[in-house]
Amino acid sequence: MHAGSAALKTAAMPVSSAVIDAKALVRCALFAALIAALGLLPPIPVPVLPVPVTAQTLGVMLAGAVLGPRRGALAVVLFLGVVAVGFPLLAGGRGGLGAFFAPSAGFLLGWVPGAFVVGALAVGATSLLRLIAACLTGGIGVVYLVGIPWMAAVADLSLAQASVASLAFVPGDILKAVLAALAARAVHRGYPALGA
Amino acid sequence: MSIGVFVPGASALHRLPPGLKLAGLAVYAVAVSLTDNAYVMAALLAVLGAAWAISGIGMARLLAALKPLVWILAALFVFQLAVSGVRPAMDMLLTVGAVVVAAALVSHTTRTDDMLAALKTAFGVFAPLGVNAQSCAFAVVFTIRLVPFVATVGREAIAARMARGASGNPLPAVVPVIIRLMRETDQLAEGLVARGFGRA
Repeated sequence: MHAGSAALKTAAMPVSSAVIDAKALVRCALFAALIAALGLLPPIPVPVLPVPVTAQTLGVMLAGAVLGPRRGALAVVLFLGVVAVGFPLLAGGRGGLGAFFAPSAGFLLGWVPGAFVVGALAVGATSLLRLIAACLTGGIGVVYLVGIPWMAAVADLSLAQASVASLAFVPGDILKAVLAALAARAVHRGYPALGA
Repeated sequence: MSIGVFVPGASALHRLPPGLKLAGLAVYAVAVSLTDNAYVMAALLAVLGAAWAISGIGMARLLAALKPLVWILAALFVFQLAVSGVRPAMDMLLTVGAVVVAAALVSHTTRTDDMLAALKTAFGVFAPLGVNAQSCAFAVVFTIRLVPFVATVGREAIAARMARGASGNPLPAVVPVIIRLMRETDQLAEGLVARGFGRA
């Protein structure tokens, strides 16, 4: 140890922040992987639409509600990045850049601001109702706000037609928002959150 | 899903630069999903078969990569068959299967360290924008590696619940699974920092 105690002192200070940074990084990756693993649960196909109801949006809402706005959105970006490279992690084994050209791709891209809004509204929320409201606003409102115009543009539908087509997903998404809020509250109670 | 698991070997596929393999996977996934032509599809599948033969990765590992998707694919296949007919259903099955196998080939033949180095170089392009290339590369590699881990922990939790007489419903297992995963990944992060991560 030729550096001596001075080096030890300077090294001791940033350790805690380095640990928090590393934990945050790994947690983002964990929630990205969680979104992927939720895609392994059997999807429920919806008649007419090429997109099945999956548990993956549950993971998106959880990422926002548990990790907070910035890290939640980052986890979703990570997940979509790994999918774009070609890892088949979307529900039903879809993957690759091709998935981002489908009519439903807007919903995938909407996950990023969606997770952010869920996180932003859920920060400091203790009541279940506020958590549910956060998941509904971000996980459904924001996601559909991106997904519906995208679908209308790609599939040559009017906004009204695209909205009607998306209605089939609303009941499932409401259920997922409630589940995500319940789970996020339980996780917050059962495990300490990271500092800033 | 057994993606993200390296299988040692000395094949030509193992020795290809990891950046090239990742780029190849991206191009292959797009080509397979976009093609409507049966001959092109057959050629793409032949390329995949050749790559698999070269890689020396056995049939068992290949099937292991496809196994978690069997039920989902079966459900989607029946649905496509009913709604759009035989051809689109077969098309869906082959497309998904080919991408899964291609991704498994890349992760089976690429050491995590090498993938990390390739990604770090790739993210280095964005360094002038304030992007920390090493952190980004680590996050991507962790994501790929954590997918099979999360799936395993989830399956264990569901099996444990069923052993105690509960139903196979995965939902009540979600919270304990997330907490266990966060605890384990926190320890992983502490281990990383103890080994000098984030202080380079």
